[in-house]
Amino acid sequence: MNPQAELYFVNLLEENQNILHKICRLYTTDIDAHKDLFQEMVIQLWKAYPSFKGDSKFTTWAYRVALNTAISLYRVKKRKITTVEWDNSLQNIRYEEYDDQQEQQLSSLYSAVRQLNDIEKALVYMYLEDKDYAEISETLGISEVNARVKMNRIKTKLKTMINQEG
Amino acid sequence: MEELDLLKTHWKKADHFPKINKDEIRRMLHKNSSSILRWILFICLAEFIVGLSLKGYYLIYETEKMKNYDIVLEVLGTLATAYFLIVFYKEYNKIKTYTDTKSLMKSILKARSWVKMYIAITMGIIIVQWTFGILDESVFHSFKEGFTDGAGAEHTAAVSNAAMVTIMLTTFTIIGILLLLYYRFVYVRLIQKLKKNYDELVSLES
Repeated sequence: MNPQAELYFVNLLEENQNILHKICRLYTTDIDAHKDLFQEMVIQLWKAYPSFKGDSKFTTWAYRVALNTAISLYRVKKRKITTVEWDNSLQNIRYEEYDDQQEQQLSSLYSAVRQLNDIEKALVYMYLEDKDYAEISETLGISEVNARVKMNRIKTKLKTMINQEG
Repeated sequence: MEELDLLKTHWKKADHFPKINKDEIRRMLHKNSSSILRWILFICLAEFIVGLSLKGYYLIYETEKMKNYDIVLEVLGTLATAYFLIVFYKEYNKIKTYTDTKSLMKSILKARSWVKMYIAITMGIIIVQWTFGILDESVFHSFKEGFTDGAGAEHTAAVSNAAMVTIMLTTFTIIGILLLLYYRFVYVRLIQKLKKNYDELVSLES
């Protein structure tokens, strides 16, 4: 591929890298795995880039390839040395605007979402990213009705998990 | 759900990630993938190469010892390998990461299933060949001797038959166990996650 296309792609990706970081946060539990998955998603996005026609938004296309990489292609490496785990309670976020109870709730929510399976995480991810059910169903390859039903089940599941913890 | 909405507002502000700069991204583009897709490709190609080398070896060095049916089976086997290799290549090329998740997983499993079928057919051909070979050279031969040489030789033939059958069964069992172990450690471990996720998506539609 020509250097111009590469430059353009790198710029687009740098601008939209948080899409990938957020997927990594859901699908990995430590910093090294986060970096691994991030790199794998970049490789897969670059490989698939010739298929990007530009008639859809770059982000919509990137969501799909990146999620597919996390769900179907990423191979978790076994590590001999335990690496630093993400701090579930903090997530590098300012908490000033949240009271103690909300902070506790958020912490429980993040750890509950982490315990979901890969498909459920994908649904939650797209829900949190404000994707509509049409896009969720198109990305996962299931019907819109089933995406909706599954999302409702996940909400109930999360509620149960949080209540059990509390 | 109140909780999930709380998470959503928080999620949108969650942008304090380590920033990867353009140079780092550019370097990443040219690194080798470590995806299961790449592993599947390598493993499948290795399986084809082993299959083809075995056939090549027999056709080149063992032709003199071969009976007609051996040569026919070897040629058929080689043609089958070539056919499977072409089909695998075509199926592998259909795997696109930008299709929906379900189709992507289905296409990976389909490409892999062709190689599985190839292994099964190759093993089938080997078992048929060995069975024919052993029966042809030893058992039938001993039988003939048994009928012509009288009671003593008949006894030898019976012992020889039992020994051959035992050897055959033991060999097939050992090969079977080795193949199962191979699939358990190489294939199942590699594809387990994908299969689980695929089944989860399929179950949503049922």
